[in-house]
Amino acid sequence: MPELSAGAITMLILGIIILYGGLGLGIYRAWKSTKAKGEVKK
Amino acid sequence: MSSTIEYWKRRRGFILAAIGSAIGLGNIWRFSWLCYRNGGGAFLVPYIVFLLIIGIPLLVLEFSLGYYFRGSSPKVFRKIRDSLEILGWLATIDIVILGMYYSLVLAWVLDYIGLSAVVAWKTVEGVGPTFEGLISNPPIVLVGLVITWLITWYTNYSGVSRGIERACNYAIPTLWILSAILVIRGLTLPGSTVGINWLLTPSAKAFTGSALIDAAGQILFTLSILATSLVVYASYLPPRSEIPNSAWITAFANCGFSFFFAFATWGIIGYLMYSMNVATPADLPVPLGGAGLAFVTIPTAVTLLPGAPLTTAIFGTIFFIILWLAGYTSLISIVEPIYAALRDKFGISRRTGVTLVSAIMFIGSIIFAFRPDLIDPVDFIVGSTNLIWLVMLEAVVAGYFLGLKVLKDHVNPDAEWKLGPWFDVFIKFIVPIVLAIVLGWGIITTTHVSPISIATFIILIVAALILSGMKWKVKEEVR
Repeated sequence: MPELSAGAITMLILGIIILYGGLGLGIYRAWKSTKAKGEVKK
Repeated sequence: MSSTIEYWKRRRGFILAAIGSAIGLGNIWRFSWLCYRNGGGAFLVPYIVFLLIIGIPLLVLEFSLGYYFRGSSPKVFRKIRDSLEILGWLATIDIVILGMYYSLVLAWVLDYIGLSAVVAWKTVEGVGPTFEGLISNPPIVLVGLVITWLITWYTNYSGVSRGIERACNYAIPTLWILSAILVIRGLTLPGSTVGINWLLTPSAKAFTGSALIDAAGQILFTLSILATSLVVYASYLPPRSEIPNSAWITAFANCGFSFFFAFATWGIIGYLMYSMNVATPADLPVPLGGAGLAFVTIPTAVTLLPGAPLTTAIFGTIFFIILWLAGYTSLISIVEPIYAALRDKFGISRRTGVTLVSAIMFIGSIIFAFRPDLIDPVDFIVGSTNLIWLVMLEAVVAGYFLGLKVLKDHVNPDAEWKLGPWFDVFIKFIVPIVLAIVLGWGIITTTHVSPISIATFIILIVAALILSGMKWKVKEEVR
């Protein structure tokens, strides 16, 4: 079975880091803000 | 009553609905094909660059316009300047026509859920004739259309939180879970790595003019930037809502889904190459993108799966359920702004408005069911050219007529990251320039212009002129 080429692996890692990193960053910001609002309410 | 204010119950519900609007058929059958055609994984570079410089700024703009003006597209443009109301109607009527043939494709998909469950094509040789048989048999398509429109009508009829939000709360997680099943199956098939290599191995082709245009166009359409749907969705946000980060999450979730699903598609294409013993995807006797990928290539591949016909039925059905859910959550976001435009101008209640809009679009979709050859020339206008120049004007109007300071002042106090001067640069300069280039390129290179396209454009203009010329019946909207 052929393996993934080095170029394909590089682009795979790039895609995962940028697209899911971007999504994760957005969710983290939202979570941090919700947490901060919760603390203010308390 | 038309004056009843509807809100999303939760912020999560709004974001899932926006993601549902953005994720559509193109995420599944267009993105990975564009990657393959335009330099493999290197296509991600212009794709992500355009996501950041035109996609997210436009998404933030559409959310901000809806959140600030609290209404449909005609109302938003009218509030900026009376004479601009026609732009809102042009965008609204555009998606009326778009929704007609979009729902037809969804009807085919729904029929294919049933056809897959019983493996109606039986053998690989039967795949092509099964699809041709379906599209040339309007009575069977009508069954799919009726079911699709009943579900869509009921969702919008039930309201923002009880209908759209609830539907997307279930549909979007289901979409991801079912996609994960297909991705795992695709990647564990013999030959899948060959397919993934063809999908991802980078080449300099990603930086040619046509690849850059494809990347910019894909970003515009994949995010549902239609100057209508997301404007109206954001108008249902309660006061003191967050805008920029919600747009950010929507954009990355949408593009992340396209990237994720590409592994299912190209794992399966790799398996097809292995089964048919061909050296390159171009040697396959099946299409690698568009409707052909969905209705011919995937059924062909699942027919050849180990364990067929049971596995053919299971994975074929899963694929078409994914496709239908992606399209359905987009179709409800097409119906909503059309109803909202009628509500804002004529004071029509949700029940009457949604029923009227659904009925008109259902009848229109029947015309396309009998004449599917009309889809390409009509789509060139309403699904491409018209949208690009309308969104370009939306950016110009917001940037130069309204002034972005108004929006920034409204959005920034509750923003999880602030809109700075960069927002002005993107909306006033970069977005109009990029979209003007995409539009010009599309017109020069198209092969779909016909008298039907021109007739569609004339119908759009006339209908928009008539609707914008009519009196506003809702008093609060008359300035």
